Amino acid sequence: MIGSPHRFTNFHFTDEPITGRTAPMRAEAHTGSSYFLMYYSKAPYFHHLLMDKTPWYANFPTPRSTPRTMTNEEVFALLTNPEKKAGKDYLIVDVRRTDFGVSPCCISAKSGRIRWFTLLSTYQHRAFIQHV
Amino acid sequence: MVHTAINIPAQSFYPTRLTWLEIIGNVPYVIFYCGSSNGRGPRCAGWYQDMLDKAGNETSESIVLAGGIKLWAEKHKDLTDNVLCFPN
Repeated sequence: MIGSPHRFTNFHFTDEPITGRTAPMRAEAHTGSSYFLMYYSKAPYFHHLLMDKTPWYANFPTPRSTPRTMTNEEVFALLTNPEKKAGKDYLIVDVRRTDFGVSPCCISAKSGRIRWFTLLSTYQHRAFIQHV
Repeated sequence: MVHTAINIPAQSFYPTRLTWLEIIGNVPYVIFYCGSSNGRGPRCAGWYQDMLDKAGNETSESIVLAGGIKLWAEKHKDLTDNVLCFPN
């Protein structure tokens, strides 16, 4: 049994006992450390799910139209025009998610080769893992 | 964030696009931006423009802010809010 039927896991469970503390030296893309963590640490080892390289727009259609761009000066003129009201005459939409804003309550704990960050954006609270 | 902007994450914009069209469909200029307006901003703006074309909406227009928040924060720092982690 080489591959796993699950999409994001390339490990599989065996009945064989783990002898010694030899890390499986796998030079594969980003699954090596999760394979390591699964066997040798109490930490959650699901970060290969978070590190999925599939782009977020993979399941959405590609837009057909290409809207025109506005320069900074044009938007600045809209913003500073006292006759134009935000939300009525114009609306500026920020489509960022995780890089939108970070609250000061950031937890950074170093454990092995992994750092855990807790980011509080305005919309959701999610844990991040950054490789060091 | 650009002053007076609202936050609609790109990842949830497409599934909720019909509701957003009802809400912001009568605003003449809808200006999208992201970090540098290369990926998410133009994509969401394209989806919004597609919806406007499909619905025959002539009052609203989808626009991309060139350069994104990075260029904006360089030029107009006084009109930029919530930049705790910028630049990182």
